[in-house]
Amino acid sequence: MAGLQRRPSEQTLQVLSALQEARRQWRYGLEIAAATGLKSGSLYPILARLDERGMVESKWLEPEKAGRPARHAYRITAEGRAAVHEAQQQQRGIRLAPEGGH
Amino acid sequence: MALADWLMRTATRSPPRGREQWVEAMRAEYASLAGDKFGWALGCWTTMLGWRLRVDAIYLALLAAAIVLLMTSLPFWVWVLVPRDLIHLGFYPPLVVLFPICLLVSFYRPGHAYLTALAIFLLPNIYEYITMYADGWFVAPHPEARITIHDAPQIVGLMADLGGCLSGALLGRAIRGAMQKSLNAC
Repeated sequence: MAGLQRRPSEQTLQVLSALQEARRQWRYGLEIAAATGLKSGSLYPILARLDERGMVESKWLEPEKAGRPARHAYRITAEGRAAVHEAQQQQRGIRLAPEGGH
Repeated sequence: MALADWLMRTATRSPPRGREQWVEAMRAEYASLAGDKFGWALGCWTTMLGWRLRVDAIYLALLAAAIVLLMTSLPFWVWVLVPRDLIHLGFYPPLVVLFPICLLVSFYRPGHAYLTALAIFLLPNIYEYITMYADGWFVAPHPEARITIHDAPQIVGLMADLGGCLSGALLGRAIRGAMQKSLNAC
């Protein structure tokens, strides 16, 4: 549950949001990179961390073309969706807070 | 593309424990990639460097501390620790420091025994040569000439340094391996 104690970074939320948009479909690293604009140097540490925290699940998919290696694909979990939801709620709270103070 | 391929090979050669599947994942995407292969490979390389540094942070700090210690105060400790009579009998004083330091660092990280021995042998000696031959260019203390054993040529002293480092590192690795084996047997 350590993942939920700290607010995910902006880039982490981008990755989670991209996976959430894909709903229950598996997404490859290249597809997530294209959707978020993140480079591999940022993307893989984020994916590895999310995987460790149980916010993303991964599996190896058979290659689409013969002779190519199997590819690692990712899908958001219920915990990941909860983290996105929580972050969105927090953002809304931050936006509303100054108005509530008056 | 050759540079990108080389970067990718370097990045994925020896992943830290627990990161093997991520290395395979990055490699598979690289194989499927049509455009900017260099950018992808560079990103994978920096990712692996970050993971490697995180895993080896304590080891690298220990190694750096050992090397700085050897560069700055080895002659002092040699004179303090080694009895004069022993030196007169032909004992090579730096071994008293090089051997246990290599043993301890390699005991901590047995997989890097050869790297430990080479780094601890090479860096202080390179520093010593630089300060000996470039004395006056740098503000650095002139170390004692420890790379000779009495009147033997310098290569003998250097080989004694290397031998001391290697034997310490390999003994550290062997002790760690034996301890691990006996713990596993329990």
